Amino acid sequence: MNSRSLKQITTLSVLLAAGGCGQESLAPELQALFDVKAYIQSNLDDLDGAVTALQSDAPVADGDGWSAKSDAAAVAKMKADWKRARIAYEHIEGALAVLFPDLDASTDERYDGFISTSPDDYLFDDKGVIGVHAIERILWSAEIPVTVKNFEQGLPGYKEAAFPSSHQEALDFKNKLCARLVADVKTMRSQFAPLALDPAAAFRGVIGSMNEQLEKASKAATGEEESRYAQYTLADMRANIEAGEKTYSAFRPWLLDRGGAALDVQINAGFQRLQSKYASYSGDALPAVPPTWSTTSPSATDLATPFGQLYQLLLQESDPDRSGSLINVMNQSAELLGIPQLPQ
Amino acid sequence: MRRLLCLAPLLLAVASGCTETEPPEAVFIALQRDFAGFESWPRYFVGNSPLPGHSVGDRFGYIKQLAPKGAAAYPVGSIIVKTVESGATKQEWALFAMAKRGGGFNAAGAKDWEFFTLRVSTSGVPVIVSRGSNPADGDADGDADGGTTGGGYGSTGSGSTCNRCHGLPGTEQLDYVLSAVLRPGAQ
Repeated sequence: MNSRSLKQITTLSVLLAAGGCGQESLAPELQALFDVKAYIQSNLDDLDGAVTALQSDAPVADGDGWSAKSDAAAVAKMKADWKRARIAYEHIEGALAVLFPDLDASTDERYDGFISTSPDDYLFDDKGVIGVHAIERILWSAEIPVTVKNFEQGLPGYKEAAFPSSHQEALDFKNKLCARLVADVKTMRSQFAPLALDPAAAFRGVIGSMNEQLEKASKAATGEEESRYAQYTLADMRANIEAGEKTYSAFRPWLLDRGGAALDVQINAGFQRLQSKYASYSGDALPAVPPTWSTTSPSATDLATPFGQLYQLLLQESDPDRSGSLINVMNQSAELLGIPQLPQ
Repeated sequence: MRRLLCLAPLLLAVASGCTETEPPEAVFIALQRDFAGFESWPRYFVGNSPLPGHSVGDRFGYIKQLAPKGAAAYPVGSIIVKTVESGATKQEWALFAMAKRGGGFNAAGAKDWEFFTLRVSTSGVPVIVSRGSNPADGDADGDADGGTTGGGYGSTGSGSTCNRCHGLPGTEQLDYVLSAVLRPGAQ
């Protein structure tokens, strides 16, 4: 940083300090960036709190690791912590994946992604298979759906998930696997705090997150969906869309200021279509995938099922070339705001 | 207004300081704006012989801030953009970059450096396509991370990775910068 920039920051610091941290009247662009930053920071705080609690709630190690009976309360508590962490992460995943690509991988990579590079025979340490899904796989190891087991058993280097069965495994779960997740989240949190976002980073995160929802649904058919052990993928997607709407709402005044009222109506309608569809399903799991489902050429019968309807809607809303789709109108709004789009 | 926008990043950085104290360590997370106007940075011809992971053509390096004379390493916040300037329009150029991120990033490869693939948009703005220790041509796996887990980049989808050359043992003595004219203090 050169001395001129330092001087500018010092001057601004003094001005802001004099005015306190109260609400200043800002240009719509600045206000949008402030709001998005505050939203991400708040969710990072929640994420940090949840993963720290998860580590802290891990049962005290005894001679035979965890017992499904005597440690049931602790495991239930950890599952609740995990779900809190999951919601916080899915609220901000789009932005974090852009800013912290490597930490996003260590935090949120799936089992098959990790073992595609090298197998991992010891699931409780801080190397190889790590992150939220590694912990999820252990916490829900007794309830893994058959489709998921079938998929993973076919992977080279597969290792069956289980509770810690020894003193050492229980210790490592707490002090290595969970500790690594806590450390990675704290790194993201501390590195994000001083970061000044730009519109591209803030806005593209929403678009990236929208695209990921289709991927999440597509992979359910083969047991590869994201929160596959806890059967929590629909909850992930609800958090994604909630965050998308929240982030967009920060940009809305700026868009309106640029004459984007018609686009605003279309964007809100797009969010509403997805939220209504997600709300129509009960529970946290994606609707059951029809046994005859084909992603490449689904039959009319399969498309009429709850899963088929969800898939079709996501396909439409994430198609950038489909007039009026959520991604299409989001891209149009980015253009109106002067946010350059990725070249095709 | 233009002046206010120029100050926006500073305002945000300072405003976030309302609730935070000093950042724990020097870390630079490059954003799209940091690559804007790279063509006005000092430009160096770095060759045109075939290189793994790079398309054919004249290659140039652009350095945002030259390292101090005699420095053995670039400071955190440094950016080098490498272009392969072939094709009728800038949109056809192959663009790569490395930014000194710090904080121990990419510890298993070119330590502290983050790699990028970029493209020039139709409006002439360099846009980040992917980033990380192992960026891809695009977000190959569709998981919104810009391709970190997508398995490398390459004009022919060869799966080349930046670390394959920039992270080789011994390159730490060059601050992981392979072109002699781009090395710290060489200008």
